[in-house]
Amino acid sequence: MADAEFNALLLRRLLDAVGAHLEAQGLTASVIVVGGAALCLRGWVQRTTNDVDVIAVVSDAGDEWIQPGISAALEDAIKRVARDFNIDADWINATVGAQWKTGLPDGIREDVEWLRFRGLRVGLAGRQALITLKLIASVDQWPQSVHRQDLVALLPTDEELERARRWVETQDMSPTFPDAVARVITHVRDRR
Amino acid sequence: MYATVASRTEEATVRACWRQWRALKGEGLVAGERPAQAIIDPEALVLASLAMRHREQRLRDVLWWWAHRGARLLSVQRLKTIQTAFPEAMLQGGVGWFASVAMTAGDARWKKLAGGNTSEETARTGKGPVELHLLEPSTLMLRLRAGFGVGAKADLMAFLIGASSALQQKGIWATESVMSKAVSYSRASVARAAAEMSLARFIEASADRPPMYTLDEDAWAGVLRLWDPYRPAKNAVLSEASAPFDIPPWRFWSHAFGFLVATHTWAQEASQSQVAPVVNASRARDIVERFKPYLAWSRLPIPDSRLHVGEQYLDPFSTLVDEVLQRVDREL
Repeated sequence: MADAEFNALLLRRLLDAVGAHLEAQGLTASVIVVGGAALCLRGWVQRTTNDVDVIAVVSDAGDEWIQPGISAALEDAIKRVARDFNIDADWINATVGAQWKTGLPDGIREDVEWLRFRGLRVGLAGRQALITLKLIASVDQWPQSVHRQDLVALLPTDEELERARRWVETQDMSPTFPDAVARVITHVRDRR
Repeated sequence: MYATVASRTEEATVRACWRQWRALKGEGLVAGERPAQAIIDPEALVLASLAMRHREQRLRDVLWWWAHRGARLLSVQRLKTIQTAFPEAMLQGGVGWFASVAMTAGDARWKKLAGGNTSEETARTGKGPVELHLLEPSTLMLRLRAGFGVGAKADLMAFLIGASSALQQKGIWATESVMSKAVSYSRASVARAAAEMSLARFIEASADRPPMYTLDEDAWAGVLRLWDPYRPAKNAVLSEASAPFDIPPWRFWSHAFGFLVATHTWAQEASQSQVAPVVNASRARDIVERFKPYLAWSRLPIPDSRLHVGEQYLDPFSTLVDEVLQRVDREL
């Protein structure tokens, strides 16, 4: 399998293929996406990504978020699309779902934008949630990292950074952690 | 496109079935056309005919005849194995019906497959000869079973004799793996059967581990009197040495019929549903993956899935189907 990079156009094509497989079986699925895929699909950054991070699945009723355990039918559709487009089998993955252990960012349920790909509904996390998750992902990364670059590209306001900081600092109790978070915030402010 | 593929694969399957049935029924030349010349795989022929029996009542009639006259030369286990390559949607309980008829005709081996709703299956009797006459070279597999018993040894012999003819190269060596896939017996059964036939010096084993096998096809063609039954009578008195052998080629019919029927089912479903092209392309890939060994052995143009992603796969798949259809007609 090729270690492919997806732009927004290809991402839409791949997600549409997953939705088509679900639709062909009379099935539906709804997932909440964060990370680079959400930023690309929102059009907030112009870069490619190599996977789709699912942080939650949404119940059939559409109101309950559940820690992602990707259903067998969705898993099958994802693998089929991986085979058919010659991409990695875990191109959609729920690794970021581990975040449920320590809690999801405040306000993650706000400002979700829904995209419909036949049998697949994709909820793109909102701006504040994406800023918060990018901030925590940037803390132990080099300034040139993709997370740091994404955070800069989002041009977060002081209010958004402060709200993100409050939640991020609850995620690591080490005494040096707040300083590390502050350094990232300073880096971002300097580049706005 | 889908409706065309569905109809072309159906026609090709039915046509191939009839040319093979004509060989088994000993009908000889019809309008100057010979019956099937490649080695008939009897279980594959039964399954393909069962899959197409709703299209033609006559296929049901010939199956009924074969269940009475020829079922004793079939392997129940092999039919079960090959059945997995055929979509159940096409067989629709046909195996149970065929087994019921064969059992009624006195072959108790079919009991475990007999059953299902057979009340709607009707067939006209007397649509074939009372006695079997395996005169056509293409009946080689059945002749060997009649002579040596139904089992892996007879089928392996048929494969090794026919493989050289298919590749137009004498002394082809075959691995246990290829032989196993070709004759649809387990690798262990094939290895055991081949080793014993080698011990009997019917076939020759290489020094490799695991060994490969070959045989002297001309010697066996002489023993089995494999020459053209339609050659002019004046040549019939020629000595065996001067008569050209007509060794029937092996054509992997269990796989070829499976591919045709699976593709027909795929095309029919695609033409009747509103499924997205990317889904149909994915299902086409499933078929190619399932029959990849057959396609490779037959040197057919397997589409490179890396070059044709998503729905783009449909075009090369269509080309492949065209090629298979031409090949089936040409190599019968």
